[in-house]
Amino acid sequence: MSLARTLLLAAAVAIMVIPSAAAYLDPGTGAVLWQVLVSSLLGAVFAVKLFWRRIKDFFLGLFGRKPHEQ
Amino acid sequence: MSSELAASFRDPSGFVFRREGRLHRHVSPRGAADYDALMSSGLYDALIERDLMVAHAEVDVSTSPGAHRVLKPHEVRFVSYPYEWSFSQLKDAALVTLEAQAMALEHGMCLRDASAYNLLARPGAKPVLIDTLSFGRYDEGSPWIAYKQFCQHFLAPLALMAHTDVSLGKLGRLHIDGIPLELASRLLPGKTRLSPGLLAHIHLHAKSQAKHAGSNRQVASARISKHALLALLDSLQSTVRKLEWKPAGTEWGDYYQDTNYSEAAQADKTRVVEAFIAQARPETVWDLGGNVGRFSRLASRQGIQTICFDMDPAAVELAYQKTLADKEEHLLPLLLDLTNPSPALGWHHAERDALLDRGPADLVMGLALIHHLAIGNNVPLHRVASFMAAAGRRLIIEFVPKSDSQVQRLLLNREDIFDDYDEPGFEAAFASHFKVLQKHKVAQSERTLYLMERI
Repeated sequence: MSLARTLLLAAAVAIMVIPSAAAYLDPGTGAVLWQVLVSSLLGAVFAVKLFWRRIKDFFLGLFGRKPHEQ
Repeated sequence: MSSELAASFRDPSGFVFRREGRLHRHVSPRGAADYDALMSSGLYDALIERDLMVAHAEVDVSTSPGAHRVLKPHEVRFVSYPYEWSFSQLKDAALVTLEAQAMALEHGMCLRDASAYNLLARPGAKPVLIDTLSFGRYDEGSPWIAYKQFCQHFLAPLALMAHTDVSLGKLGRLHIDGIPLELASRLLPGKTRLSPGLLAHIHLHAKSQAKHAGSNRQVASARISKHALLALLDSLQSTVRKLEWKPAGTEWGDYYQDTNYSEAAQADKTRVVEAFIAQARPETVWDLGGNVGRFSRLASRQGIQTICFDMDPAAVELAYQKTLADKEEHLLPLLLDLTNPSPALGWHHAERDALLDRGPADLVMGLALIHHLAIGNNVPLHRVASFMAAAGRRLIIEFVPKSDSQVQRLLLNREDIFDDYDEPGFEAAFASHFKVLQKHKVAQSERTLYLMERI
């Protein structure tokens, strides 16, 4: 997946699906709206982080070092 | 004979009950599909392999009417609560929760709740998940229902302990579903707004909750991608990891460097306590005021299940770190203020047990403790005795006379109103609850050790 696509996907914040029927907690209106907003922003940062990790692992690989472990 | 525990009423997918003294979990038909997915997705095996969850066995389903399954978790010896944990015990519990959630997502599942009460503190290892029914099938695109709960149960108390005051871990006793984020946001120093993680997950999160409080807006349609959810977890993980608290300069943290015991007296005390433990032959020991666990280890190193309670967060923190480093499988350090021990809490006073309802221990130890209770806290000796009798069947206790410099220090600036605080007064007060099995004057010291048995 390209970086641009990952970023797009990360920013995708949208509508229509009922959460799992087994949920018994009230997630809280403000908390869910905030989660949607903050996780889309964090998603973009995370995509960059993963991208750099891949580059780093590539170079580490060139020098025969063990790549980063998740 | 089985009885449902009052602590497990919130989640309709099952409940916990006790049968013949052992905990069991009833999986109701409502929780059946999620439980079956946990077992068939490979998540259960993965969690057990990483030592993140207590293993269980499925037992005869007819033992609990209407059950889809009945589970018997591996033995749970002592249930402690997050407000009894040191900073690192709670931090490790938070990281275990996040790791379990990340692992669940890999298996198409997710944590339906993120309560700190879902974890069990155990000896010589990090806390472990005990609530098997916390896992539900992940509906891709749905937000993490337990995000707010995670922030309230873990992030808020950890941030408060790290940045405001370590004693605020005890706020959990007031707020049974975690610290409200608005409260945490107000109590945290302004500099925490410079931490992107704390800014996002506590301060702005609290603002969003306040803004939408009382709103009629439905959020059931809210969607977040799996990538965004993983990003949220990654951010929570790094925010928790960055929170640090290092014990320094707390009251009795350096107790064992500060004692007025000579080397010979210390050696004699150790030898006698060891001999008393051998004579008492307990299966469980509660060491009250046990500091960093020096004397607790005389029991735990013999394979006796030992809990070292202390009121000093630094002592408990140091003891926990050592139990992890040395993989001490029989010693659990916990935070407890004996002058105000953990009460029964929650709905109908029955969600969290009081300390004494979780006992008694076979053997209670109260070493270098009596003067703190009787003089430091004005508890009459006969009341100390009745508490000890409720806590344990046998007792190793050290009497510290007024002439001792530690007692002198407590009396330095106050009137001595403790007329019966001497050896005969002590023995008379304890005689109504205990008979003395052994008595030993500690060499080169004015202190006396007793082994007693409840009458």
